[in-house]
Amino acid sequence: MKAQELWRSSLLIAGLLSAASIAACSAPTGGTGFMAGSDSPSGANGASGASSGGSGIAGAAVAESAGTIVMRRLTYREYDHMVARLLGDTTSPASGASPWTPDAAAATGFVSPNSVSNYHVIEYNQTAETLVDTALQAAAAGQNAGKFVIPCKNPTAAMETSCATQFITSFGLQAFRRPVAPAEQADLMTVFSTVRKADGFSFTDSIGAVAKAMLQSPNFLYHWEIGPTKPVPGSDGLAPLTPWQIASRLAMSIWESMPDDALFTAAQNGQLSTAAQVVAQAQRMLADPQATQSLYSFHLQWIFNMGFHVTDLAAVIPKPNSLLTAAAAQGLQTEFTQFLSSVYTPPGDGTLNTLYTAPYAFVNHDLAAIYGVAGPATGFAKVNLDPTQRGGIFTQVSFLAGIEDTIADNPVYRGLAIYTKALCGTIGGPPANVPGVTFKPGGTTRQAYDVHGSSACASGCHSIFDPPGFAFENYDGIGQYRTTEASQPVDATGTFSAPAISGTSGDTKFTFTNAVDLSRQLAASPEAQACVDLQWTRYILGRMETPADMGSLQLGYHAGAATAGFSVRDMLVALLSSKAFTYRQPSVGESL
Amino acid sequence: MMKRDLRFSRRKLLKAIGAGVALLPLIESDPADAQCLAGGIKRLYILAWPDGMLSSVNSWSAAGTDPTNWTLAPFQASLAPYQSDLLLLNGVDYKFIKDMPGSGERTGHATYPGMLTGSFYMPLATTSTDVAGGPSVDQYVGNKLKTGGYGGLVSLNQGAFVQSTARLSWSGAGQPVIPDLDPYHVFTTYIQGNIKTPPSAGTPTTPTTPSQSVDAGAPPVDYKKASQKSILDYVMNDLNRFMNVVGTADKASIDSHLTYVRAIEQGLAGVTGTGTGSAGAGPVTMGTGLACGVPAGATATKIAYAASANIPAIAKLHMDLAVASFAADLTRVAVMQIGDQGAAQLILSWPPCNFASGGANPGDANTGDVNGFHAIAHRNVQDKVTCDTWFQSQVAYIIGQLKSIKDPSGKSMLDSSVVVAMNNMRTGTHETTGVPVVMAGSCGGYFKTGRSLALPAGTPNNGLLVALCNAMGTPTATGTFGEAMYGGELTVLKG
Repeated sequence: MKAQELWRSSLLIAGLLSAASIAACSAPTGGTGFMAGSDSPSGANGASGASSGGSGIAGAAVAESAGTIVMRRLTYREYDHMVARLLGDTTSPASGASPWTPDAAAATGFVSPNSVSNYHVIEYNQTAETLVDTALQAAAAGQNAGKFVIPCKNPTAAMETSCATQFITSFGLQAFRRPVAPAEQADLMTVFSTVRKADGFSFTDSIGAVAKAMLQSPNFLYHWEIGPTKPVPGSDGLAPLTPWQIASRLAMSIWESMPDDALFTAAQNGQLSTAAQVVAQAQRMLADPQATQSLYSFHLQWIFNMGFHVTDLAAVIPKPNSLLTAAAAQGLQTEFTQFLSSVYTPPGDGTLNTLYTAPYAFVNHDLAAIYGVAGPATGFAKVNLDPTQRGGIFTQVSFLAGIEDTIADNPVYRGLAIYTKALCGTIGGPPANVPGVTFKPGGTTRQAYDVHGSSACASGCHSIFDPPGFAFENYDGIGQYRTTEASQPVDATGTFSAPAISGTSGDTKFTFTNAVDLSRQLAASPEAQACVDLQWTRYILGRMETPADMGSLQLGYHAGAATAGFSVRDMLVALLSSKAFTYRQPSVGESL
Repeated sequence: MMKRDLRFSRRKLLKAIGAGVALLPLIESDPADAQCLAGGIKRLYILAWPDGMLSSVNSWSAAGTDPTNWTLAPFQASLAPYQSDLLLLNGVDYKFIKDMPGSGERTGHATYPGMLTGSFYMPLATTSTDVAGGPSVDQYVGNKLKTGGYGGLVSLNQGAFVQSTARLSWSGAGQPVIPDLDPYHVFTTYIQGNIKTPPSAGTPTTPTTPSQSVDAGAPPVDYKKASQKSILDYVMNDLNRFMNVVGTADKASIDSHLTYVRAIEQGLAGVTGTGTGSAGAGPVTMGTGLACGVPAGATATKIAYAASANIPAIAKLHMDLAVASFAADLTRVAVMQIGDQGAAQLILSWPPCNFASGGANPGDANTGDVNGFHAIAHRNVQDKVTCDTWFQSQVAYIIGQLKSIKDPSGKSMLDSSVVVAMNNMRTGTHETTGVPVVMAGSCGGYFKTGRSLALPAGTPNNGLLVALCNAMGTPTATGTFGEAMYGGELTVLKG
């Protein structure tokens, strides 16, 4: 995710930082306190659907079913990855150096755009022109133009129609991510022949016009991918996704891109019709380097999008007079990405335990200094860290320094990240007009923030998420390890209860000595395991979970739990082969 | 007076600004271009920036009802040349933010979806994803003008350094209008090659010849390229087919998509000034009697529009492009945002502000760079006044540009237009009441200018939005705008 929201709502944060009892203390947003507050009319309130009925993710087994499929526009990153594959263009027109005005994240916390604006349509129009013109030049010069391959060279007039048909079939399959339907084929041939004959374009330029048309087609720009045949709902009312749809959804979920040749072939040959076949493809795809794209996008949006505060890891501000130099700040995105790859790409074991506890990091020279280890003179290298000081993604500099933009550390952000992201808890909005935190001379961060506990107003929420934040008191605002602050020993101990989400065994009470200890307990807790299941489900379905998804959520959970340390990789593969992912309920108003 | 080319002179399009910045299209008007303009066309220009027009240590200009009996506050000194054109309001309340149902942030930062819509909105997970409950005034007016036969754009929506996805303009509930951040893109999309000389017998125009072209750069994007029509016909067919297979909720999105593609195609067809014209890219129709515009062969080079340091240049370019578009009657409504609803990374590094990035903020959490506009707004003292002063100079700039262009009757474009400068809060500490507004231009005599009004407490912004609709000749059926509970027009603006 490039240059998304950098705006920070200070007052919201000021509210979260509320240090004193004040008259403006607002009422809780829901009937039963801040925790009950739903921030979204579309059911964004934690695991609202999933927790209904008392049979949650780790609860009594529910039969698998499926909800509706979400029609959505490609994200900017998907668009860029796809045009790289389709046309060999790696300039990232949508999210690169001259990015389009950003799309907003949806209620899921992930960018999954449904509507379209005039601005986008103009960009699609112009970018299709530019991309195809460039590809035409590349093709003419014998350079890589991706899947843009003109089938005939200087065809005779008699041959042109069959050559154009060949192009429409082959490039169309790629662009629409399914075979081109006969009516579309005819219309695209009309584009070719009109441009070729009436307008007098060359054969290759006329082929280019066909490609430009496809790149502006809804069949390219939206995830839907129905065709060439209509689905037939079964007696349960659910329609199985076509193999092409499954291939596309797999590619979008694992690669943030379109299917590769192997996946298209599998779809063509009907080899995506059993769960085992989908599992095999998903496993192959997760081991592919392209998986880094989705892993990065998912984890960045999951962990760093706290609504009021969205970190763009590519644009973290250096902190003056500290080791968080420009080079260190610029290295955070790579640190994060390489760590994710090491966890999920074999031989990485893909477990939540590794994600949350692995005592190593990938650092450049300046990041190594923050960790207090020797680092490479140039580039990045994996370094082992003291396992008593560091364990997993929440103890790395990318999280500790990236999630906040003050010089001092901020237990509130860190605690909220653990509570709302790792544990899927929900917190309502803060009251308006609350004062900031006051540091007493010689006092520690914790002492300053502990004032929350003495304010009746503030403690309502802060008692929930401050404690997990205090677990990180061993790290200052740039993520350097410390055992003392203001000449006093650091107190990183605490205790808090997991939010009651998703019908897990529930109410795990975390009692910890520090962040390494807490991270280890999180990885082992059913709540954090269920939460990662929920988050991936929201990401791959592009919507909030509904009761219909519960059986599949359970499938994912149990697949993960079958491996010591909870295999997120197995969980994800199970989700991708689940009914919620491979079937759908027809949408209201849809003609089947 | 010697006869002159009726279009904006090419040399003015291309001026180098600043070291390290490439050639830019600086489109300037010239009083001598007067005869190009059709008189009496009403235009609406909205300029918005965040974090308060005021700070805790500066005061709004004193109230007064005649230009001779009130004085501009020092930070608004740049507006002095236009005092008789001004209508200052102190101020309006964003009542919707307190009254609407749902949970979410209730501060000035969260007002963007309602500032121009006056509607309750749907608070989603964050203030950057909140969804408006109705159309904004710019879209309402622009669409009404088109329904009435105007052939240009609905509106020109621009932004400088807008990083957040919080939106000001909405074509309808839940339908954000996304500002174009790139002046070069605005130029190539809406202006370059899009201005045609109207067939007006007896009005000789100077042809554009290649020899006049002194600028380097890519050849102009040619939207008339013959293949475009066939391509867009296909796309529209395909959208129609697609719309038939998706569910009801999705049909609406695809229908919008279809509308926007159709607009591009209609632009290609060069629809004339009656009936439906282009609402998107492509050539649009010029107003009656208008003979000036931007040379068809003009080109521009790119500017790093994502860089905070370029904001003055970006803002100027956007405003120049809007004025050129007004002059050529490519649009009658324009909305310009400087920064987004928080502007944490906006660093006013140019004179007279000269702030330098200071890195992360030591104390005030979540405000971005310690010398960013957001952090400065939180401190809300003299540094903020310096920023406030610069922002007022931007208002002065657009007013000055509009005033400098005269129509054949000798009246300025400002006379027939209205400029509205708004903010999402009163000062840097998030107040949503008493939010000041700078208006300029009488909109063809509708507003009584030369006044600085102290509005009664609790004046909703809706009354202003109604007044804008009425002034532009596009009244709403209900006489209200947004939430009806906030009543009708703020009639005091008429005098």
